[in-house]
Amino acid sequence: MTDTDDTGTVTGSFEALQAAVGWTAEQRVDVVERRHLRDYRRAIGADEDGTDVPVTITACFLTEPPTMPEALAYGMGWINGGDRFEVHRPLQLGDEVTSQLTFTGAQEKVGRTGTLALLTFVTEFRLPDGTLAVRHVGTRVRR
Amino acid sequence: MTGPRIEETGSEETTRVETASLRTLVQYAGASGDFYEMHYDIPFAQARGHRELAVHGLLKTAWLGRLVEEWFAGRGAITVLDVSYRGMDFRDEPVTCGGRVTGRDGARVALEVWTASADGTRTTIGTAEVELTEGPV
Repeated sequence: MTDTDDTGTVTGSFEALQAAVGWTAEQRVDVVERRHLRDYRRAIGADEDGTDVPVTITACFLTEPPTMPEALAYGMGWINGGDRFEVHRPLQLGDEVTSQLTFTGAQEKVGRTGTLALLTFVTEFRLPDGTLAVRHVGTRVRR
Repeated sequence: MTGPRIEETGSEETTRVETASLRTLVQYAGASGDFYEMHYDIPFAQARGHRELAVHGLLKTAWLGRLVEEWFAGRGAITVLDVSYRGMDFRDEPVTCGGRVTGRDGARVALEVWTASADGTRTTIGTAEVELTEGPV
């Protein structure tokens, strides 16, 4: 189906979103660095001098909002629908993680404000030896 | 905030109020790399029908993660944090973050987590699991 925005402008299609399932962002490598950890802890209201790595730190290693063209072509903007962090090995200061965001599913719904698409993105964060550290599932909404 | 007596599941909860200023939102954008304009550009946000700058959903999740991590500090670690955003919160408005123990299976503690806006509306709902490293205190 083809969607229109509030001005009647035709935007991207849900079919295009469905066809994009399996899309991946570029692989990235991130390191839990002391300065970044301090900035993140300060931003979330934690003691900035603490060295414990918050469970949500991998949010910083996601590409947000996702850059998938089919998503950007659908609707006018992003809303965050939900986040799930599964911790298999807690991250520590100095850890290097490799990750790649994958688009895994799309669902179209009619809400109070019109048609929207629920998009699911999965990202696995692995240590250099391949150990899965964190799996993140993000539900992002385009409307 | 005190440690949970997890043998009394369902009766222990903790809350904390957080408020995101523009500075907070910019700090979070910088630290997280999420520079979506809805969080710091008021004309952009208003053009999309929002009355104010929205608090990042992932900042609210970070607040919930911190709440639980500090609650169980030294006694356990979060293994799962799973949230769904049901409403927006806005800058300079108080957001109550809450956690409540709902059950225990061995060393695993289940919690309900949430955020609520000033009028009590739950804007984030979710669950968390904590793996205990020590027995209950």
